[in-house]
Amino acid sequence: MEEDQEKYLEDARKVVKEQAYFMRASLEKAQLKDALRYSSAMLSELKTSLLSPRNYYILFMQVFDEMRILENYFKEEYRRGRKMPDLYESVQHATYVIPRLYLLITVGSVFIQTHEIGAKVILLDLLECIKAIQHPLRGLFIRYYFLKLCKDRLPDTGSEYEGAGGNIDDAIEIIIRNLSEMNKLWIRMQGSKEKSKRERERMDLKVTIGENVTRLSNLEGVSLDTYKAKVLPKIIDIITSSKDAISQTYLMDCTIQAFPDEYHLQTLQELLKVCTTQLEPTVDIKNIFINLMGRLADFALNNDMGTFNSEVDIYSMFKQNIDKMLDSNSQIEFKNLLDLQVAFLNFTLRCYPSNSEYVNDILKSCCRLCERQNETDFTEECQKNIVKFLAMPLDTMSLSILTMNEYPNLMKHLPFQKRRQVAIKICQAVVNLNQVIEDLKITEELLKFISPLLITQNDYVEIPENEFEEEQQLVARTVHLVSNQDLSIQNTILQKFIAKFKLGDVNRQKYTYPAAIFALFKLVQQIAGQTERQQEISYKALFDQIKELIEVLQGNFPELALKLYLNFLLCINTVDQTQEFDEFSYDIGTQIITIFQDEIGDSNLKVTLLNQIMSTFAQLNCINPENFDTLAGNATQQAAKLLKKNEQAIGVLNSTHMFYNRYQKNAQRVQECFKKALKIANQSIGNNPKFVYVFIQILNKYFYFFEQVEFKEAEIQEVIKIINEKLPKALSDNDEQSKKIKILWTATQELVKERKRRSIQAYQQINI
Amino acid sequence: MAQESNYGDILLLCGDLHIGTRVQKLHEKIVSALGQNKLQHVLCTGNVGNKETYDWLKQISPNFHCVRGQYDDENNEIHYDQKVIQIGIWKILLIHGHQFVPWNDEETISVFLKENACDIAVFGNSHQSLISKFEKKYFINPGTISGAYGSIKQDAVIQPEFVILECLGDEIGVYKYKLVNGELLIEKCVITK
Repeated sequence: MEEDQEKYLEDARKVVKEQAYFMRASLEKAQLKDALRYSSAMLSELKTSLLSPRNYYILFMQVFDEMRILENYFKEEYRRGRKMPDLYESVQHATYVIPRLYLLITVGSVFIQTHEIGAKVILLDLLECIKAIQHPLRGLFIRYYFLKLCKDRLPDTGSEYEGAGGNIDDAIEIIIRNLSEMNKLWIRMQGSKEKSKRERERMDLKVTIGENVTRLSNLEGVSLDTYKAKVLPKIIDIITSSKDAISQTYLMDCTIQAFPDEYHLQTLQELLKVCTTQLEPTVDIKNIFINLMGRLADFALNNDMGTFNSEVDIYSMFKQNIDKMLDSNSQIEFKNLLDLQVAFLNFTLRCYPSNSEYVNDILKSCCRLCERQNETDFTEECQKNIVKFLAMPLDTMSLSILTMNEYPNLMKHLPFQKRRQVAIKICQAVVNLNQVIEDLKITEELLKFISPLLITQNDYVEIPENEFEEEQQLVARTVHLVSNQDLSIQNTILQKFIAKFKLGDVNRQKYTYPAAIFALFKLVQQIAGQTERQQEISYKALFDQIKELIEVLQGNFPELALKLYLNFLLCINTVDQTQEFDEFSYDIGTQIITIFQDEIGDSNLKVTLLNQIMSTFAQLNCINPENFDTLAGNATQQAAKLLKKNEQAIGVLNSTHMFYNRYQKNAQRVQECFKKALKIANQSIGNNPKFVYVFIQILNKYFYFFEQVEFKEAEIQEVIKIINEKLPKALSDNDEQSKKIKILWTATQELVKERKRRSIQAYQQINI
Repeated sequence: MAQESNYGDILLLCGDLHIGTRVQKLHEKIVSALGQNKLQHVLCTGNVGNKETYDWLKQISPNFHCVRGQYDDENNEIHYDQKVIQIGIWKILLIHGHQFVPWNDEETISVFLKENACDIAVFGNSHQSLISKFEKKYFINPGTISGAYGSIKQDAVIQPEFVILECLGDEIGVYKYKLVNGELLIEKCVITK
């Protein structure tokens, strides 16, 4: 079949090309009669019934182009003095109807330009004549030809044809009649067999119909009032009387596209009424609505919102009509109604950004809609829409959305995965917009909604690890938005979060607890920073709670717990100037050492953690001297038990800072540490000359404390002596370690020289 | 990379973000100020917090260096505890700083600088910015770029801070930025070799 079509088209095009060639040749020789004969032959190809609509269109366009040449010639003829009425009459001699009418239209178009007769007279006459073609396809195209040729010949307001030639009403009338006829023919193309094929064919030709509407919208004389009073009612008439879904849909779309949004605003009520009550049930009204809402939302945003709101209550109009659709027992599918609700919500959020009442109303109708459905109606698509529904308002409105009572009603229709999605979207909105969480009621609602992330619900589904981590981090980030001028409210809100976190399992607590703990640390600082103490929250209560939370983590995450305990000590340290919590802090310190000793196996990890422990202890002023001495001593002992000898030596060396710092001034302990470090170093230097590195470190540490703690000069010189002895051997193989040793030793010597130069007493005796 | 072409290079020094555990995200003002493709190097002292932020830091300059903070154990893209970076005639030691005993002590850090033959130590941990000199060595702490809570400082509200360096041969322009009430305040000084 397809090959046949190709052949038919090829054949027809060949004839057209041939006859057109002869026609042009005749015109050049000014032989009009011959030219008309050839053009007739050419136009006869358009009588064919063999071609598919799409191919007929192609043929038509080829003929159309050739007819322009003829039209130009007619114009020239007029200028040369030929009488138009004669021409008009002579083309009617063509034998066959189709060529005759095409020629008539062509001459008519030129005739109008002469102004000898009023435009409307000719146009109406032509319209009458072309009624003769009642075959759907051929009739459609000849009227299309008419429309195209008369484009600039209409008696539009302000055109040269206005006046005697007619006025805007006539122009409208002519196009409307053409549209009406074309529409009828278009619908007749449907026939009764091969439904989908016919539909496709019709859609191929839809632009020919649409051009009428475009032409109407281009008329200068179609003002808002004219549109309202004359144009729209007529178009609606055509639409509603046709009872054909394809035509109705297309014409509605054309009308919405062609005319300006201001016009639609003023005629919205009418448009919506037609859509909801007067169209065929198979028309996809939802798309028309969505189209309209999209355009109006864009319009509202680009223009003064004031006019948008004050003149017409757009929202109510849409709402009434949409609700009507929801309530009517129409065959509109659940999925389509949901799509519509989502589009409507989007529209409302864009045009009325802060109106939560509107949002709640839409929520309510959506709930009503969902209640009517069966479980099985909630397909994947529908669920996606509900998720969108719940998440959209959050991007523009505050968390108060969550207190709308319809919210949980919608959630319950969703399976776990989708509820989780909504939860994630809520957290994301909160975090992205930096929404402060300061209200207790909102917090409760928020926590309800993000429950899928906080606890393992009944219909829980496993998710990949990186997604789990991301979602938990999102929850953690949400905690940091909790804030309230009144710190006791801030605390209460935090407690709500913590209560929920407690119900999650330890995989979640790994992320949620640290966030909560740091929020509590911050709260402690905020309380300390107040000029007037609010008595409702006690440090003790907070400290107890923090301890409790860290203890839970200790079992599975000892390293994390240890670090958190260190932070905890520092937190207490900043607020406790009087050692009020001495016992408590000492307890924490002991816990730290215990975990270090019993739970940390990896030797490298031990080294870095011990450094952190010592540095932390070196900051403390919140533990009484006796307790502190015990703790620091424990830490030093741990250093002595590290795996490698050099680590032991350096560890013990580092301990000195615990005993001598801003708050501690225990010179004796410092000296003891040095002795211990030296002992370890001396034990090891024998086998390993590179151990001289440790001695250099020890020497530098002597210099660190040089002006505060007394050392025996001999002790120091002894160290220098050992270094000088072992240095050559250590540097002999020139590897990375040697380089380091060399650089450090040179720098140390420089240091002494420099400090000697600055006349610092203690250094004068050092012989390096 | 020791190149004379480092002249005019702009470096961002930042760190201690703790996104997720202590703070929800970076301030928009800082994100937009730094995302303008004007940086040649980014040096991060560590404790980033989450992948999204780490990825952002990676792409705001062609040269990204990050060292491991004590809370970076889950991040397996950070390989170093300390890094030496050469910019022109300057050698910078980048290290988080929780490793030192004691913290924030110039003399202690000097030893590390000396054995690595470096001139400037860039470190964090205290969440408190610092620019100082001690016996011919320089010490820069860019503070916390997210305003994350840090147990060492006594304030509940910590201002986000970062430092920009402009390499000018044997001088470096040091610009300390602090975000106060939504505005970025700048303090400038110069260090010379």
